[in-house]
Amino acid sequence: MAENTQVRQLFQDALSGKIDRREVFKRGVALGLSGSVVGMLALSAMPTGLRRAMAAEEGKPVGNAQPWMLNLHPSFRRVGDAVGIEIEEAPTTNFSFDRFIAEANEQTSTWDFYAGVTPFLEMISLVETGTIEPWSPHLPAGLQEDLAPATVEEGSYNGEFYVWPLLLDINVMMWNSGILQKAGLDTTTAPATWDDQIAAAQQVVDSGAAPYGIVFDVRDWRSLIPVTHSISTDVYDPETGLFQYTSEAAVQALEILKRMMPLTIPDVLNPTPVNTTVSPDEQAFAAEQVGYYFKYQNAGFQFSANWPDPSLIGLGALPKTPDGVGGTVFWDTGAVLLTHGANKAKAVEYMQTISADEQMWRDSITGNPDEGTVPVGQLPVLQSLWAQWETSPPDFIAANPWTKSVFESLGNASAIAPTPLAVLQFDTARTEWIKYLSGEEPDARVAMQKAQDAARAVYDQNVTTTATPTA
Amino acid sequence: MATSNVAPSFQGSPVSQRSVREIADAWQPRRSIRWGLIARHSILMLFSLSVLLPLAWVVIRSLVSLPDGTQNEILPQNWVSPLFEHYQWVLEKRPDVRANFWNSVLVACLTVVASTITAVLGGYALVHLPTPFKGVISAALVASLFFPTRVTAITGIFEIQDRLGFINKTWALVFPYTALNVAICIFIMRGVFQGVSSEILQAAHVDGASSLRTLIGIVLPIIKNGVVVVIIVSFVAAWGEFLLALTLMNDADQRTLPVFIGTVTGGVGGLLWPRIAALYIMAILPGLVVFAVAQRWYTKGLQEGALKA
Amino acid sequence: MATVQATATRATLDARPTRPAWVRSLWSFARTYPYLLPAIVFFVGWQVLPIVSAARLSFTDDRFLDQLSANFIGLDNYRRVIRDELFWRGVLRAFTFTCIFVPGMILIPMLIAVLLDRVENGFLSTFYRIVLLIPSMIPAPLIIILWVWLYNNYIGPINFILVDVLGIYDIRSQPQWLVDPKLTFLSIAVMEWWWGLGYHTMFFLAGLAAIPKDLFAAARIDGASEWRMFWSITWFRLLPIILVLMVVRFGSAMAVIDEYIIAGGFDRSRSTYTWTVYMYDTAFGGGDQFRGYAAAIGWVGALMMLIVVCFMFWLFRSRD
Repeated sequence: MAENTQVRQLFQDALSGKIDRREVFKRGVALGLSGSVVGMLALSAMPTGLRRAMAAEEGKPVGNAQPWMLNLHPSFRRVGDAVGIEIEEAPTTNFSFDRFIAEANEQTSTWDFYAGVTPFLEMISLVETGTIEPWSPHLPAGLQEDLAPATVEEGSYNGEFYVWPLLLDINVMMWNSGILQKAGLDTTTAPATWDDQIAAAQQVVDSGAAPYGIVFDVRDWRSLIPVTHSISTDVYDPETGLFQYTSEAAVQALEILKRMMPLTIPDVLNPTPVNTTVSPDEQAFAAEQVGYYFKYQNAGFQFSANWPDPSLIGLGALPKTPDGVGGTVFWDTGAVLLTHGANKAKAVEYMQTISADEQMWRDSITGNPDEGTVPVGQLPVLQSLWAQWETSPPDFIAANPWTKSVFESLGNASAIAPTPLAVLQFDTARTEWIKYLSGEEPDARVAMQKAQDAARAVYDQNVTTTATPTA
Repeated sequence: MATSNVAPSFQGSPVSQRSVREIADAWQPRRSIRWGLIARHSILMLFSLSVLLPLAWVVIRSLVSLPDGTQNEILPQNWVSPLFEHYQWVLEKRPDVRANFWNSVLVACLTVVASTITAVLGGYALVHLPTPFKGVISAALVASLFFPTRVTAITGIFEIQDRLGFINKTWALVFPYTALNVAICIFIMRGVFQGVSSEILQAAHVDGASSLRTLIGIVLPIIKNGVVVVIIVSFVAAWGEFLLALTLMNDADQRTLPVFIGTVTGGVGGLLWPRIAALYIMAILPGLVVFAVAQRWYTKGLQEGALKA
Repeated sequence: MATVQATATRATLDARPTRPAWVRSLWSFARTYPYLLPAIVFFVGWQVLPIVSAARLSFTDDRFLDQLSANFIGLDNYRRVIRDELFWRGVLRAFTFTCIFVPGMILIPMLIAVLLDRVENGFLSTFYRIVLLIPSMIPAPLIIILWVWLYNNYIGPINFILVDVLGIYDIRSQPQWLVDPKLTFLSIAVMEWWWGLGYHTMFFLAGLAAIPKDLFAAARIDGASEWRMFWSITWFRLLPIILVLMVVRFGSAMAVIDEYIIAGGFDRSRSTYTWTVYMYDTAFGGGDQFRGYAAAIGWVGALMMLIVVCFMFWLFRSRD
């Protein structure tokens, strides 16, 4: 009863606008309420101000995925047809997910699930707003244990499992063997250290084999952070989850990127808008103008697919510093169960089917000429599937031994800590730290301090509440 | 920007095409300086080529093989075969693009109808009817042309569409679209109506025709070229609008074609460069066809006073 | 026009001489305003109201996504905008673009119009007009996408010609048209000129057509050169168009947004992140979508533009 009063008090405080929603969560969790209940409570207490955009049609199962996923993987729609669930393109321009939050706020959802969440970007916001709920209660026994543990951990928040991992991406070093051969370089393994790596890239340029030695995507989670992880993975603020730009490893990583600048494409610091066009690194790799390329493996595969000889792509682990831990970054693009969706069992059935669907992974690894899609190389995380492939490898696995080595490198990779800021943390900080790469700021530490401060400021502006925290 | 904007006012009365001809015929320029003639045509040809070559380049891009699509050579090593395969691919494999195309057609047609009716009625009232506060209305419309409405009002437009439940409904774009066109279209029609002599109207009035019947039966046939100008101006503005469509729609099936092309993840998955080039050509064709068909009336209409505000 | 109005009003008065004045004016309202009703609905509903509503929002701390009701915070947002370095940098960026764009958008079409006006061959004259008008029939986002391609390092023909054909630059020194802060606005201005070429030429052609040809004939008899005739007659006659275009294009150039969003996205370090993009990003981009602050940015920008426009009108006011 006492708890009930406290809950009511919480409700009234929320309604009166005395505390904001994060405060509701804090106190709700302290009262032992589950995340989704607190979410509902918080939302029901909030003035809405938003109109319901489109009511969910009862009984018609609908899921959605990000546009790029549907473009790369025709199986999303095919499996949808097979299972009886319609798959639509998600309204998520530039990683935005406000449509889902807005709908949840109206206690409704057009869709049953949303496949397209990268945990470190969107998960916390979706959980805290009550937009999504944990999968666990709806899963058949043993399924959660079958998913690679690192990916389940990545998709969990407050001990609950929210993001069902589907498409595994790991940051690796890739190269164009044709160019390396011309430059007289080893085409079987990546250089072991960043020093060797930069020397090799220099050799590509000096030998005239290609105009550029090495290229990367300047967005933090695709370059700075993977390089940082190769040195140390202890680089996140335990309280906020913010990346520590001023940590020793991050500063070293920035110095490594700086040394690559003379060897890389001239527009590397200006990635094209996320969803307008492919980024310059991808175009340079596709146009065979560059020897080495580090990013998630799917970028390398997609953008070598139209080389005259696509088999010339090579890949290996990211280099490290001599005393570095040799880690890298992985993430899994997965599906979340929308709290107000109507067909949860159907969503589970869909995710279960597509996770183990052979055609899905065959297309991902080798491409599908009928659909006009290219190899993407995104991998499954179902351990039983890998065990099965180990004992009797299908042709597309046998022909692509890299699949196994990339999957196994999951052991060395770690996820990026999630924050409620999603992509904003990186977009804010990057404007500062790239000044060191462009030469505008001569001191790496100063650039990183500014990056850290900028990210922290935007965190305080968006996340931290002015209300005094209640224990 | 160019077309969605303002027809500025300037001095001088409009001259019909015929009188331009007559003047030109009557006036014999000095024939002696041939190099001047050559220079003039070279410059004009240069500008014409600068318009045509980029578009020709896109056509070429839409016909090259996929590997050539990643390279910057202007002529490819291999053309795609069959030659129009990329067009076929877009039409067959991208039903969403087809849906977006029809969304654009729908909203452009609605906007054309709404803008034309609004402009014809409004222009008529502002010129030929004893409308009270004409000056106030015209001044408000003029002022709106100098206010950066598109940018400043967008949060407000979102709020209003949200209140009305119009977020994510393509057809509802007709309201903000027509509103953006309303001032310019009324000024175009006002210019056209000013070219219609009031005696004709008075004669009709004496015959006992109501003002609406006069408008439809007598004035409309006279001003049809001006109406074509309004149709084209509002069509082009609605067919190509980006910012509002991007902001107010969020489902893939409610998008308009410009939003799809403006935000397309070029080069990812099936949507490789040459295929986007094919899509591009298909997206600009309707506008060019409308222009080609209406071009004769359009230029006439411009000269009959549509450029005069 | 004044006479038209006068006669029409007199006709109305004659028809109903005995009614009291207020009835007459009510009657003229009832008779004429239905014609203006659609215009008023659209104009008030989706132009005036949104502007007013943005003004109201600008005095609140409204965040779209936090689902809390907005609080009235007086002029706080405006105080913040005035001190917001990013906003001023954005204004400066937009102004830089305007200074590059406006002169070209007036002078190039004027040159073309003067040349085109003299073309006697009917076929060629029509051909030039139609070709030059083609870009204005292409939707804005598609114009931008086209030029993003043309300027591209890896697939674009411009740098292909400069590097591979002419050899003026090598692959490392090739111009970064949309990225190099020194080139970005020029590149975007070229794109805009290309787009507006035919449309603006039409204005000048109409202006030229209005110049009585005997002026030239007389000047020619006096032995004036083409060059002198241009400055003493044509330029003088076109001046009103030029001045109006300057005001109008100043307004549109300061408020450009689609171009920047498509070509540069929401990257704050890029020159394309102007005050308009900042406003849009704040209202609809990452974070909690601070609509209140965004509305204040929009209003400060709009007010500054209005002041400049008024100043320009005062400067260009008719002196005859």
